[in-house]
This record gives sequence, C-alpha cells and structure tokens, in this order.
Amino acid sequence: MSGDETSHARDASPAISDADEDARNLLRVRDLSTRFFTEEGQVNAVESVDFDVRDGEVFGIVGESGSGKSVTALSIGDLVESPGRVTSGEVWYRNADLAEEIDDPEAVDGDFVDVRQVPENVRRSLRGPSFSMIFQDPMSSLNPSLTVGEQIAEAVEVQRRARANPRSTRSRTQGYGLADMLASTVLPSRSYVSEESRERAIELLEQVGIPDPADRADEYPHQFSGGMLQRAMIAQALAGEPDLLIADEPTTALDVTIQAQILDLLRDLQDETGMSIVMITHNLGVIARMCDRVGVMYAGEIVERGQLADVFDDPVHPYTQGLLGSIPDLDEPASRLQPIEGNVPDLYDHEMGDRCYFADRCPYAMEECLSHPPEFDTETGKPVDPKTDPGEHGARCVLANHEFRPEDALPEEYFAVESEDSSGSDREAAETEEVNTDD
Amino acid sequence: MISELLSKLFGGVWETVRGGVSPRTARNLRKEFRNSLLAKLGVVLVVAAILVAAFAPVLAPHDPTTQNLDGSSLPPLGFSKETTQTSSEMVNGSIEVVNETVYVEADPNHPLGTDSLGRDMLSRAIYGARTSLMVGFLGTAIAALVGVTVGLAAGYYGGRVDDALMRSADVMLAFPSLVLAVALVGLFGKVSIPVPDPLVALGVESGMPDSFVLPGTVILVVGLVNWVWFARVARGEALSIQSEEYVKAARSVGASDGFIIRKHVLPNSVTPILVLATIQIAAIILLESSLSFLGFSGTTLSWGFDIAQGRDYLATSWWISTIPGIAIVLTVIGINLVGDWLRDALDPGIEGEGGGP
Amino acid sequence: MTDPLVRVEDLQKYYFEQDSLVDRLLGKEPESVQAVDGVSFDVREGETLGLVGESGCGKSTTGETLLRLREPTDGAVYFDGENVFESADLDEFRKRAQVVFQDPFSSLDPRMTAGQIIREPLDVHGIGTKAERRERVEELLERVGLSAGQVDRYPHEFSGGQRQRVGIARALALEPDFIVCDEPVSALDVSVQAQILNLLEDLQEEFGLTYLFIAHDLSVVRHISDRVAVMYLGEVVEIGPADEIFENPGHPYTEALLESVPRADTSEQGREVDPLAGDVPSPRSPPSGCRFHTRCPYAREACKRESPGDYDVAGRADHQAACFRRVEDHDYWDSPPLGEDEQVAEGTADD
Repeated sequence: MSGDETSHARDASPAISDADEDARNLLRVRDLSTRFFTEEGQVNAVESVDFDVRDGEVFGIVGESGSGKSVTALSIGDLVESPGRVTSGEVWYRNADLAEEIDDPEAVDGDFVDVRQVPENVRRSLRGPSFSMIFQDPMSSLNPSLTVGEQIAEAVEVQRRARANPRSTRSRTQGYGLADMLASTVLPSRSYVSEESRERAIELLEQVGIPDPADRADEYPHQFSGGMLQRAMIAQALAGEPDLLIADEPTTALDVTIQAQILDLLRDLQDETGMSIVMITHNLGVIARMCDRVGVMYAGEIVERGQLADVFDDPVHPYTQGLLGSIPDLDEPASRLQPIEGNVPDLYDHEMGDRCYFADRCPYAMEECLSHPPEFDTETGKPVDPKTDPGEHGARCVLANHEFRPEDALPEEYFAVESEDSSGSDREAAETEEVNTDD
Repeated sequence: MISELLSKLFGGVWETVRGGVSPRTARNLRKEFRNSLLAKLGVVLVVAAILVAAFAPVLAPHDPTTQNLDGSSLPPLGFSKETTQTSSEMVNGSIEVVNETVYVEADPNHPLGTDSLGRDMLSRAIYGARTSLMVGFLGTAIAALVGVTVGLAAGYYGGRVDDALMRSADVMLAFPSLVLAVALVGLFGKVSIPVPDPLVALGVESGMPDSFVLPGTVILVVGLVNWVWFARVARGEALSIQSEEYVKAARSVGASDGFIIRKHVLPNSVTPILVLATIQIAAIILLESSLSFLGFSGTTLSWGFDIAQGRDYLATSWWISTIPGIAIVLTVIGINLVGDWLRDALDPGIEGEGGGP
Repeated sequence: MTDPLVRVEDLQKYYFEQDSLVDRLLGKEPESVQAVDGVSFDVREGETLGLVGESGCGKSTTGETLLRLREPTDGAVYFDGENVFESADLDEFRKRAQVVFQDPFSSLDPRMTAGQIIREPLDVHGIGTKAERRERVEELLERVGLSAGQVDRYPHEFSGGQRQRVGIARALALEPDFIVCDEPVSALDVSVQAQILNLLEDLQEEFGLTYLFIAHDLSVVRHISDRVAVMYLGEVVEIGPADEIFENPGHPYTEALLESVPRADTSEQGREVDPLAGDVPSPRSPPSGCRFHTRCPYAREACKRESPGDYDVAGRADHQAACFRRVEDHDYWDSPPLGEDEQVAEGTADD
C-alpha cells in the first residue's frame, strides 16, 4: 500500500533534469542546528548537520548519550520543545501533493517541502503521510487511560479525515466540536473515531504481530508487555502510511530477545511497505543489523558517514574507531578493551571552542586539530561540502586527508591542563555559592 | 529505637537542615526570590512579624494589659465613634434621663484605638504577635518532631510498622482538628508558662509586663493535632529514599538503621518537610486563634482572644475584632507566601539529581 | 578443589503482594512473586562469575539477597564457610563483601561529597583517625582514576562514568574480598563502559578480588567472566565456564539469547536470526515444569510435566544445563512436541 504510493509519487512528479539524485532522496537535511537555551548556558545539541535519506533505505544515526542523535530525530520530526529550538537549517521532505499546494517558492523545491518554512498547519499535515516517529519508552507515549485499540484508531481516523479532504491543510479535528464529544459519550455512533478506523486499527495490530488483535485492542497499555507496547506504538506510527519512520532508540528499553523480535518486525514492515527508516541508537549491533548507511554523531556533529561496510570495516575518524574498539566482541573476546579516554563533552557553547570537538580525547590530536576540520571525502582525501556534494564515505577529520604526523602531535597534557584549569574555576564558583548560602 | 532516633533528631536538626540545603538549592531559592514579587512580599511580612514579636516591649506604646475605663473603646485614628450618652439630671425634683449623641474622637496616644476595657489595641496587636508566632513555631516543632520520627520509621521499615503507624495517623485525620484540639485541651487542662521577658529584665524597657505567658497546653495540643501531616510527608519520602541504591550501599557496608536514617534518609527528605513546616506554621497560628477565640487558650494576650472579646461590640466598636483579625491575615498570608516560594524553588523535580557537568 | 569463597544453596526470595493490614481485613490472600526460586551456585576465590539474564529474571534480587540486603525466603549463603543468613553478627561479612550498583545517579547520595561517600564505610566501622580516613579516601580516588582534588565535589558535578568510579572507590574502602557488581556498566556509554570494565579488571588483579558480575549484556559478561550462570524466571538454567557457555550452549534459552544479540559487525546484515517468540511469563504464576517451555522451540510434553534437573553438558562436570535434551535416554525424546498455540496461549495468559 504505502509502497505503491511512493512509486506513484515518483512517477507523478515531473522529474527535474539534474534531480536524479534528488528523486532517490526522501529527506534532505541541510545545515540543521538545534540549540537549548538553559540557565547554565547555550547548549549546541545539534551543530550544522547535513544528511539525506534515500527511498527504501535504513539510515542509521549512532552516537553516545549527549551526541545529539535524539535531538536530531526530534528536529527532523519537528518536535523540539522549549528550552530547545531549531535555530537554523532546512528539513526537506518529498511530498509532491503538498508541494503543489504551497505557493511560497522559498518553501518548495521541486517535490520537496521544507518543514521549517511552511506554516504550522502544513507542517502538521506532513506528519503521518510523510513521516512518523517511534520512541524509546512506549509506556509514556501511550495514554494509560485509553485502550490501545482506541488510540491507534484515533491516529487512523486523523489520517483518514485528512485524506478525505486533501485540499484542506487545516486541523483535521475540525468539525468535531465539544458537542460531538459530549454526544459521543452517549451515542457511540457520534464518536470521533469511525468504525472503519477501528477495523483498520485491528488490522494494523495484526500487521505488527500482536496475537488476537481484536481482543488485545480493547486492553489498556498497562496490560501490554514492553515488547507488545512497542509493537502497538509502531502500529500507531503506521496509521498514516508514512514514507519515513523515525525510530528513536526503539529497542533500548527492551531485552535482547524482544529486541530481536522488534528489529525483525521493522525489517519485515519495511519490505512490505517500502518505507525508509531513520534508526537512531547507541547500539552498534542494532546499526549493523538494520542499516544500509550510517552517520556517526559526536558532540552534535556527524563526524563520519557512509555505507555500513565503509564505516564499520574501514573507519577513518578516530572516534568511530574508538567506538568500535570499545565494545566487547561476543564471538571473539579480546583480552583487553580499548576505551576512548575522557568523557563526552557537555556541549555548552562557551566550552566548545573552535577546535575539533574530539581532539581532547583523540589519540592522534595534532596542531591542525585546533581549528575545526571540514568534511573530507575518504576516497579522494579532498574536503567536500556535504550540502551540495555528499560523497559516499565522508569523515570530519584531517586523517582522511593525510596520515598522522607524530611530529605535529599535541603534547599529551595539552588538554589535561586546560580542563584542570576550567574545573578549578568551576570549583571556585561552587565554593562562592556555598559561602553565600551560609549567610 | 524510637528514643535513639529522637535524641539524634534533636541534636542534629539544624545540621540536617543545613546539610539539606545544597548550593543548587540555594541557587534555586535565590532565583525564585528574585523573580517573584509575592515571595518578596511574603518575606517582608514574615520578617516584620518576627521583629514585632521580638521587640514587642520596645515597640508597644503602652502596657497591653493596663486598663483605662475612662478611655475605653476609643476608635483608631481617622475614625470617630458616634455614641449615645445617657445622663440623668435632677430637674425640678424629678430625674430626667437625657439621651445625648456625642462623638468620641480618636486619641493620638492610642493610634489603633482601645478595647472595651481601655487597653491599647496597637500594643495588644504587637504582643499578640508573640503568642501567635511562639505557638506557631513551637507547635510546628512538636508536630514535626513527632510526625517526622513516626513517618521516617514507617517509611523506612515498611510492612507491619508502616501499617500500624500510618493507620493510627489515618484515625487522627478522621477527627476535625479543632474538635480534637478542644478535647485535648480539656484533657490536659490549661497550663500557662510565664517566661520572663528578656528586654524588660535587662532594663531596656520598663513599664511593660515583665513576663510573657506561653500557653503550654495549646502548644502541645496543636503539635499533637498536626503531626499527622508531617508523618505522611516524611513517610512518603522515606519510602522512596529507602529503595535508593545509596541506601542499599550504606546497608551493604554495615551501617545501622539509625545511621542510615540520620545520614541519608533525613537529609534527603528535608526539603519537602521544610516546605510543609512553613505552611503548618500558618495553619497552627489559625488553629491557635480559633482555640483562643473559643476561650481555650492559656493567655489573654492573643489575637484570637481579642477577636472573641470584640465580638460583643462589633456593632459599635468594630476595630476591637478587626485589628487582630487583620494581624492574623497578614501574618498567615506572609507565611503562606514564603511557603509557596520555598515550594516553587525546592520542587523535587528541580532538586537533587539531574544533569549538569 | 578448594572450598569456594561464596556458596549459594537453594536461595529463594519471594515477594508478597496484597499483604497489608487492609488486605488482610478484606480477606485477600497474599500473592507471592517468585523472584528467585531455588538458585544454587559457587563463586571461587579470585574468579568472576557472570550472572546473566533478561530483566525480571531475578539476577539483581539474587545479588542483593546473597548480600543480605534483602531478607531471604529460604536457602543458605556460605561466605568463607560461614552461613550468612544465620550469623547474628554481620560486621565481618559486611567488611569483606561489597556491592557496586548500576545507576550512577541513584547509587550516590546527592547531598554528600565524593569524599563523604567514600569515607562512609570507614566511618561506619570506625576505622582510622580522621586524617587517616582522609588520606585513604584520596588514595582510593586516585586508584579509581579520579584526582584527589575532586574529593569535595558533589555527585552532580561528575559525569556518569566518574560517578561509577566513586561507587567503586566506596566498595573498595574496606578492602573487601568479594564484590557484587550489579549491572555496573549498563547505564554507561560504550566508550566509558570500556574504561570501567578495564578498571574492574585491573582492580581484581591488584587486590585479588572475587566478583559476582550481574549484567544483561552478553558481550560484557563474556568479556569479563571466567564462569557464567544464565538465569531465566528466577532459576539458573545453565552454568559453566564462559567459553563453554558461549561456544557450546547447553540450554535452548542460552542459545536463543546468544542468537538475539546483534553483533557490531558488517556480517550481521546477512545473519539469520530466529528470535524467541512471546514474552517472559509473569513470575507471579510461572509455567509448570520447565519454565522455559512456553517459549522453547524444542518444547515437548515432558517439559510441561516435569521440572528438569541440572545435567552435565557434553560430559563436563563443570558445565551444567537444566534441559532434558542433555540427557540421551530421557522420556523427553519420546514425548510429543508441544503445539505452538499451546505455548503462546500459556505464555501470554498471565500478563
């Protein structure tokens, strides 16, 4: 169904001459930056990120906590909340129908629509047909006081009403007022959710592998196990038959055997519907299992990107190497792990500086790492602009350009001294605070 | 076990409260204070009430207990009172009653007027602050001591101990607090403890009462009526803290229950208890006023007592009831505003853990 | 063979629900949750025994109960020959057995400084003078890879990995022989996790420590353990040397676990995985017979009827699995296979 739709969309769109590349893309993210404005200062959670997601592929974003991977997911899903804000960048979704309707030439590029430049109501109508999201914790994503079936049916209903009235990009709950809601408590026939939607919800539950879907639809979230809830949430996300599923740590809260089930399910669904998936996780195993291409995030940036095999078998960025080296291998245990020294940075704007963000933990830090490196194509070793010409395998590290030069290496204590200094002043600040408390 | 706990609680109350206020907490307090006009107003009101109570002998223009029947029921400045003066005159051998309307003007010596016995209202309001605040603070201290001890024990030990303690607390809650308080006062009798006034004793001020009456029974009773609230809050805190891993860690190194309660559970539950205490002070001041109003107090220098006194003269001398009433309202509002400030600043959501470098 | 340092015999820990006064008055029967149901294993001096299983299998409860942080329902734990559950004076045991917890946030009292936290065990046992304690704390901080200058910092001023180091320093303060590591790295990022694992290994070597390492991450367990015990629904289903367990698993559950773990390797793409069906049944009413029979791909009638004992795997006395398939002449082989419907129905009936 959704597979048909995507191919249909592709045929219908008049191919723009040099847009062969674009036609294969479903999502283009350009120069995306998201900041959080907290009391302690500005946090650069996502820092000028560019990537594309192609038709029918699984694009993985991997990183540790605080790398900005989840904020990236929220940013492309248009769900960043205060005190965070997407401060710059473009998020282009391919949606030919919508692109036709919008007059603003700035916000449309061929079949693509920029989420950041269209009004709120248009943005809302992208949700569902263009993309939908699933999260780590399904328990908190479902309303505990409504049955699972009802919630999925509601999602279906919203999409159904939107389709029935495609010209209107207004709120899809329009025409359903307070009076209808009150009436629905007495007369089931007046309820917002139609019988068709309920049936579709049960179909969806069946599609995501929930046994006895008709019975389970009438149960409440607390009666579901963690794995079942995640399935239910996937069913809800599928209600709009999305072109792109953004999955933010979908298996992190689950046990390995259940994780395997969910990963299998996502694979099957993808085969069935032809949708693309953005898979965000810290688990390199999940990435290896699921993804066609992968971007490695560190300190809000994509530091390395490429085909899975390129990144995993031939990592260029020392962070990628470190990440792969620090996980114990289940099949061939090494006698000793090779951890990355130090800690993940806090991403405070005033602490980031102009150097390569990984330099303080990098075993190959050189003089030139003190200025921020561009992205290099690992094949040619030339700097590339990921906005216009994303190469197949890129890395934001000078090592992609030339070998490590020991004579340029920064002295080992270079950053140690710096961090000791800053922690010292922190300490003083904390002490002054305490003195103040006393009086 | 309980006695050990008590002694440790007593000794370490201040230390605990201090230890419970981390730099982060202090920062939140300051920030919330800066941003909130109401918090500032509350602090001003409370500080004013405390200063007034502490320096009552200096501030009060008259001895609040001196009666002057010649100048009774004088109105506050800016008001006058219209009364009918009845005099009898001997006119032509017969007694004639003359009704004459006179205007009683305010006396600048008694800016807030006098009561029916000619006592200075301002001085009484000032001294009344002492009673209210003393009962408020001491009563809350007793309530907190009993309640926190019971609550921590119930929450920490759980099971049967919890059941027994908290069900009895539920029973306490089932009684209307005023009825319970009246019953308890009846049970204990009125005990008044005269406390020498240091300012008078040191000769800073003379002509004022040389001692101040502490309504002992009332303090005890309001404490015993209100401990339940502390028990509930402390229990909830203890219940969640005792399952924290740092408590398990302390147990695994062999720390005794008393040690754990003192070092881990109590300090980490101080914040909500502090917030509750502020609100309880206000509640207890109101309860004391009610008891005084009903005549169950051990002192005659109390806002509630004055309101009761003025009740009979409401039609003619409204200020006798109104002035202590306003004093109560201002104090209670002030304390509640401080309580709100603490609650907003110390909200457990913001407090304690959370990220940061 | 010498006596093991820790011997756990038939350990049981049940929790009771609906057990309050009100429930009693209403005449409700207390409902038992069999978190740990008859677990036995040894931990030998100087080794690391990995205890692995999915959430709710009772592995953490086992760790806490054997340290007597929870009161056991039944069973015995011998530490250096002494029954921990019967001894009245736990002082000595408390000094020699320590614990490192999973959550680097909740395992440190937010209102205490790193110094106070690490010093607490010394305070409790009244060891040394104030100056000596201070010195010891600084020494410990440096030993776990922090600096002595960080002694007055509060937990929230540390990163997750650094907090875990503080927790480890606290566990080391009394110079213990035995440490229960309860998921010590599962809340950490992979790069930091490797640091902590290396630290734990170094400390073990330096101080001759014995670890009970509880974790759900199989690759971590394989990396750090000498021997491994696999738990499912409150029972140990397989125990043996780490390499044996991972290369020649004797229990279908272990097999399924191993298969489910996605490898961080490009070969993962083509690997066929047949994930276990269904969910873990509720420990309130565990399945009859072999508890795994509701999800087991090899389940037969016999598994439903009868509880398996511990059978040697591949003829090795040090590798045992609780599965009839390890016994060549068991009734199992003659009994009919369980229908899939039967399995699923039973497995999901109680959640």
